[in-house]
Amino acid sequence: MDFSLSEEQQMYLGLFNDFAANEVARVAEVTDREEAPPLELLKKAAAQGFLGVPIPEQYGGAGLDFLSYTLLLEAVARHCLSTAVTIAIHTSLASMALLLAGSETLKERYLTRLASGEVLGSFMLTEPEAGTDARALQTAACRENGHYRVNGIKTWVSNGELAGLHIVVAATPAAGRKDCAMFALEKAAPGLSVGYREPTLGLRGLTLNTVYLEDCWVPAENRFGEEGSGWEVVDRLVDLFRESLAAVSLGAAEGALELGLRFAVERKQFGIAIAEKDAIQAYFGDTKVDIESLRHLVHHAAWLCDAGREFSQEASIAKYKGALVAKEAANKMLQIHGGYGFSEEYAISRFHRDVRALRILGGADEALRQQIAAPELARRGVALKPELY
Amino acid sequence: MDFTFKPEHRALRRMFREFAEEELRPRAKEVDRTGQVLPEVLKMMAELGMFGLPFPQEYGGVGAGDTGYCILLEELNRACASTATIVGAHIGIAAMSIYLDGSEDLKRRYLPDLAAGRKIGAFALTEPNAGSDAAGIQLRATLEGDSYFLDGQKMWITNGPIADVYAVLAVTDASLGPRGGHTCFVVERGWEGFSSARPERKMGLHGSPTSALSFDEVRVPKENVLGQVGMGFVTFMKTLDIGRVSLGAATLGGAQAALEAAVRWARIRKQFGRPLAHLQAVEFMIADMATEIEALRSLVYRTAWLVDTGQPFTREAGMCKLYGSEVASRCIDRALQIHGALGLSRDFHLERGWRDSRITEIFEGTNEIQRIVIAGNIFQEAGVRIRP
Amino acid sequence: MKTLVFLRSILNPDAFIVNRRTQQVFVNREEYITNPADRCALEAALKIAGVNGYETDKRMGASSEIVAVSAGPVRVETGLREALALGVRRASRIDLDDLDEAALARTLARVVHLLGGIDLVLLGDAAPDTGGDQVGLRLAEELGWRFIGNACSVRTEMVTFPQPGRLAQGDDEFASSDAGLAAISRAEAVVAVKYLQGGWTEVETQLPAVVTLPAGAIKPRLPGAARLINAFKAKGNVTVLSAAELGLTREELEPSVKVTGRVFPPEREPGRRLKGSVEEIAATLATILQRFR
Repeated sequence: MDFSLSEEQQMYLGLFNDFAANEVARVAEVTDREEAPPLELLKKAAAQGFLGVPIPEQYGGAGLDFLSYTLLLEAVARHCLSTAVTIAIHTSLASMALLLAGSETLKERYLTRLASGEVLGSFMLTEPEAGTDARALQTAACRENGHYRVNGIKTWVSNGELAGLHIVVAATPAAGRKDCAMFALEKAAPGLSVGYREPTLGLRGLTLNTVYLEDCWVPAENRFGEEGSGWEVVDRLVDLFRESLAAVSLGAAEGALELGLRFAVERKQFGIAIAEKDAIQAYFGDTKVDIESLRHLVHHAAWLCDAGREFSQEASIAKYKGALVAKEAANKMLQIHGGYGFSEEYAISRFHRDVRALRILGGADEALRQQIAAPELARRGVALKPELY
Repeated sequence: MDFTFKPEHRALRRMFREFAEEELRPRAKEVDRTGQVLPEVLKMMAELGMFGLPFPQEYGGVGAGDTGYCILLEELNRACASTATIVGAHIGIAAMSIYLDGSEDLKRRYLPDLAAGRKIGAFALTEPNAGSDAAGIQLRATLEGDSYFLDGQKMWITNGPIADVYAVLAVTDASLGPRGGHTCFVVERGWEGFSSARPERKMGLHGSPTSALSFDEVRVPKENVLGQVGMGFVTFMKTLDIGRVSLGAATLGGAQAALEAAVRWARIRKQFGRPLAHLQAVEFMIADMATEIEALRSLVYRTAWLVDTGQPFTREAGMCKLYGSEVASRCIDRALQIHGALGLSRDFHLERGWRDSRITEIFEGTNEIQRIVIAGNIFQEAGVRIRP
Repeated sequence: MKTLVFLRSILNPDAFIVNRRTQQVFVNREEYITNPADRCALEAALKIAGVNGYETDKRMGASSEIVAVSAGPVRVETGLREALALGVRRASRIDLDDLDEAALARTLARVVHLLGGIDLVLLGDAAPDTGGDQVGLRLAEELGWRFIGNACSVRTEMVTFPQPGRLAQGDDEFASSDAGLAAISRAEAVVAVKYLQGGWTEVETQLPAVVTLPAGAIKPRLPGAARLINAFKAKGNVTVLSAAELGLTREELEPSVKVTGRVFPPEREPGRRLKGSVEEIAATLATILQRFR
């Protein structure tokens, strides 16, 4: 098995790393401190084609493979998770929704603008009563002459107030939990209003809004995806998003490790750099093990995706593992910083806060565990409880 | 063995609980936002006798012992970690060092004001180059006539910006090192050459002001030597030992608050058609939290009993701090996970507890140091001396 | 001036739940608290006595004294000790349990007579565990004293009272105003402020009197830690009064009402959200309301 990156992947990796180290690193702190989405940075990313990496060139994307896209996310996350997650939502959920299930009309109308970064995308799934139980959603879409009326409330919508295009997942009254409908909603759609921005523990550069759909008028052609296969598409998108979050976790862990190493080499106590202390070295060792394991999981899942093979299980595993790896890395590296780790003058506490969301976003650990076990059990005739999505 | 708390301790707990629920919990969010615990709240606490809780009534304290003091910190931290930290640093290490090793004269001069909360205390040990390596401090104290002149800096001092009285560890004889060369002093705000810097910006405990201190040839009269000249390090280590027990109690309160929040949410929140309480994953998390909290409770109050009955407690104190801080982190983290996205919202209280508790694994001796201290204590019994 | 405060120990409402579906009370833990309304009464007494602030170091004026009384088993001494820590001069436990309100009133009347010199009795309007709200009124009746209920604040004052039916020399009710004035007296009174019919009313009545307060009327102060410890460590600071000492017979303690059962109101059904135009909703609502006629 050849585990090396191709020449093209290597080249793009270089571009991604440069961008991350020069542009992303510069705005990471102020983005968090002022809770300001990094709009200038996103424009720069767009100019380099980074907001449509896995989207085919015919739709304005860079046309790269998914693995390359994970390399971008990893590079960005090494410095700023808010930016990385913003890109992940925009690409893996909004753009990919149109790519996978949108009609040609919709792709031409919207996908190009998303891939070029002219417009940012959001993906509205979660509701007050539908968190882990996503299929309990109640946003309803009623068909009328030539259009749909959509009613409901969506919460925790990432990129809510930034997005020019929203992908909405709604329930179809007839099908109940079994099917759902997806719509492409422009920002200015009548009846759509973006509300309260949630102040959060971490990822403070990410905008998370409550969005109200009150008799929101959507042209019929903006509904996409086939009848009966709504959840299949959503599941596939969630897989892509999980894989993306795994890549983000990898970058975060690497970023944290870098900060820890830098500090430990400089800080002297008991007459020597603390990097020479057994216990501290053990922390570095553990973190390195975690990072390398995660890297293989992330690359393997991406490779399967690029090979057109089933990768849902691997994406879930990578995401689950990634969230824990990022948590452990940030936590240990903060501990290495001692009192300085608690100070906002040092970047590590930001990483520590930011990675907390990774264990909830994209599927809480607890639910994910059972989903990961599901295929093995299914093989032996034990079904996962149907409602545990 | 009688594991029940005495009636007076139960009565104290009830009073602390009511105070914390009425006055601290409703203000905690604002405290985090503004970075200030209101003076009127501190005044109420002083009037209730909280600032002198463990000290004998003859010094203006309450005489509740270490057990009573642990109960206080548990109840305060359950509602507002910032407020608890102000009190904890004031009683547990600042006033405590004066109580443990101060001369009768020093005690009579400072304890009544500290116990009544008329003056706030701080404990100044850490320096920019001396964190875990506490013995590596460099603040100099030079004897000239009947005064010492203190020169140097302290860092990360809890209550630094608001205290009136400081217990400070300085080097009186660099050649002797910590054994024989360090001395404690009591320094007052307002003495020439002393200043505190602006509060540090921290990830949590926003209402607990922390700062650097600057000593520019501060004249300290001989009478303000705390304990014996040259024995300062021992005084400070003794004080930290007691402080660790109550820090364990404080973390117990934080963990307890997390458990209560988790149970409440698991009852209310429905997914998949029924309350989260019916999900085994949640049930197991709650069970693990409750078990750890129970174990911590036993550890803390047994150690407080060791303190109150004059028995050795250094090893157990280290365990209280080590185990307590890690239990609190785990419990608060689990509670946050049970709340899902709501746990990440700053409109809700959980993430504040998550941020506040992180420092408990670091200050008063990092958990790494605690492990070394505990191991050292065990190996000492086995005849081996280990060093960090 | 001597005030008696009656404190009731009740099961903490947080410690039990009522399951209406099964019509059962589940006690999760045996935890008792002092009836919040009674704590308001104690706070009122402390204010009247001029006890300031939390730490009650100041000696209470010789002119005022508070006695706290509870009825029940040894566990009610907890509340009495807390009262001592707050500044109450004397605390007594009546060693009787499970008295109904009539018996309780009779018992308290005996205590008042036994202690002597009491001008004012303060207690809560009601106790939430039994829902009973008769003790104050019955006690006033037993003692032949005046009664004010639902007092949100209480103070004492010297007040000028006319004395109806007691004229000066002569039975001529149209005697000169001077003669009428001679029949007025100044006496110590209790003045209470009550919330009545959408407004505040001040009511005053001569002592001796019984006044009851609702829960939440006044924020009760907390006892200082030192006094609390001392109150709990001290031995014998709560005197015990037995039925015999109070001269109570078996008949006087018999319940006058027998509880034969408990029924809880049924669970509330979830509401229905009405949808449609204003006319449609109005029509549906009218139909629903018709059913209740």
